[in-house]
Amino acid sequence: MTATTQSTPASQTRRPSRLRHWLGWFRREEAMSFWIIIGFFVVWEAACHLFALPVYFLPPPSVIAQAAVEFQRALVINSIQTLWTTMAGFGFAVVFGLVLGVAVGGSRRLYRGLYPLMVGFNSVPKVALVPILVLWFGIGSVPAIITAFLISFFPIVVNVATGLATTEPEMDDILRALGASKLDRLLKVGLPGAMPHFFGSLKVAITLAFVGSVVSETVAANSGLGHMMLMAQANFEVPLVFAGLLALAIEGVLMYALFVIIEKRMTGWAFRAQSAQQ
Amino acid sequence: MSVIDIEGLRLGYGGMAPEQIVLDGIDLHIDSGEFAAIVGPSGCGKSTFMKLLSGLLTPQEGRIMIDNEPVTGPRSQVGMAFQNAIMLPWRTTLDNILLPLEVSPATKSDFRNRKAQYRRQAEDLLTAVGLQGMGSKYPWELSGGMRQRASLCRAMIHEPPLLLLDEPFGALDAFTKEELWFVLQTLRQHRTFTVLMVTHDLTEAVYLSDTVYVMSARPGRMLVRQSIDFERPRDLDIRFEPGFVSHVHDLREHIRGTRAQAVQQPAAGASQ
Ligand SMILES: Nc1ncnc2c1ncn2[C@@H]1O[C@H](COP(=O)(O)OP(=O)(O)OP(=O)(O)O)[C@@H](O)[C@H]1O
Ligand SMILES: [Mg+2]
Repeated sequence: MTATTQSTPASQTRRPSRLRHWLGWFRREEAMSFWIIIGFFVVWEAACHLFALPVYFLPPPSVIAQAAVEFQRALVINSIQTLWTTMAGFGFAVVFGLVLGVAVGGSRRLYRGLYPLMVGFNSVPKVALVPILVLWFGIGSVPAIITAFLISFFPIVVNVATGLATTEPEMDDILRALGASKLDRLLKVGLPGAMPHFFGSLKVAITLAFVGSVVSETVAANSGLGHMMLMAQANFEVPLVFAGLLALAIEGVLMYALFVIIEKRMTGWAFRAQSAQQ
Repeated sequence: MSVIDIEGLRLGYGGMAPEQIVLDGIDLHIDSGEFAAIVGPSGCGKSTFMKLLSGLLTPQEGRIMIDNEPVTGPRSQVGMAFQNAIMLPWRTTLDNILLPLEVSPATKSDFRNRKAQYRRQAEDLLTAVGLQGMGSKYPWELSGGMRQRASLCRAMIHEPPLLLLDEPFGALDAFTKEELWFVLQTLRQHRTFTVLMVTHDLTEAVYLSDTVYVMSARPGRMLVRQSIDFERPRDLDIRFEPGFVSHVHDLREHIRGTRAQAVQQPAAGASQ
């Protein structure tokens, strides 16, 4: 008896507090991005109606959503195609970037020797390389993967090399005075210390990889979001072009968020050490 | 028996032109178990001298013998600690302290086989410096004084016969400093080892040392050797006794003198 009478007020008080909890979230700092995105689309929609913009010039979000539903199959298939070529190119970039970054960051000689070449390489617009890649590999996924790789490995190399170069000189003195081998210094101090730089660069690299694969798809592919948007544009399906752009943006944001989480997981100490110093 | 024997040591950064010379003819003998301090004006080459002893630098002229063996490169017989106690932020304090054992060729394989024993040894050392139970904390969770204690532990975990300290307490407040002087003396009661310490704090130098060396302004030379023979263990109040005060006063006068000389004839060959 007493138990039931006691439990009723408890559940009564819990329900409104949970509701308030949810309402409270929308007022918090984290919810800001949510409101901004909502606001962005509302303004977009309103502007289209207010200035009576023709759909083939700038379609409002509602029309884009309709197109997305209508062409959902094509959108999903092409999104998956773009995602996999991007991730494949990005995967190569991570492995290659890490290896080259360690080599360049670990040896002054290699650093001085390779840097001009790498900077020059990075200055070449990757779009200009796509026709060459088509010449070599034909039309399809391969040029997209390679373009994604080429455009995204540079920031990884630079960040890994920088991370290795910023090892505290006194820490290095202590280890060298102990007679520690170069490999040990790299494995125990250099690489772990470079990890925040490395994981930070992955966020930049993944978004660049999307740019690479889509650029290649618009020139030399028969599937993928880039290809789909080009086709839609040729057919005056402007809402579908925008739907493709949005799909791309969503993929980019999701991958970026994924790497933010990975970064926090792997190098949480760097964030905590930093906040402790303030 | 001397642990450190140095004769005719000369070193220049990048060459032996007058303006490149940093250390110019140093002779030094430090006995086993001695606590020696080096004081001198800023930039005279004290840190450079310490690097020579740890084998990180090689001199152009002269020779350095440690334990009757010439120093030709890094050897793990020295422990080092610096003004800023740098630790690896991704390792716990205990794992930071164990790092020398992990990387030194002399102890590497032994460390892998007898990890538990070495961990206990590190914990004992932490207790000795007043950090019991803090081994599992990360460096950023420690205060500056605590980090410096931990960095002393790291310098001593492999039980080096020679400890090189370069302004180890320079960044600490007066009270923490006094505590660490005490810690250093306690450690030396557990195990005898030779200490060579660079400091700018003359009171610290006189309080801790058996011998204080004054280095001249650059190019560095040992100007004065001053023996301090107060009985050990020393009480902190000894600092206010006349004998102590006059030691500090003498040292200060020597340093002031060599600084004034350096200002009068700025960097002998630099203008040529
Ligand atoms: N790597 C280097 N290359 C060239 N010159 C150097 C180098 N390191 C130090 N010096 C010079 O050698 C001199 C001695 O430097 P050192 O760091 O040994 O001085 P110090 O006595 O430890 O000074 P402080 O008391 O300020 O720590 C300085 O004039 C400095 O400019
Ligand atoms: Mg110095």
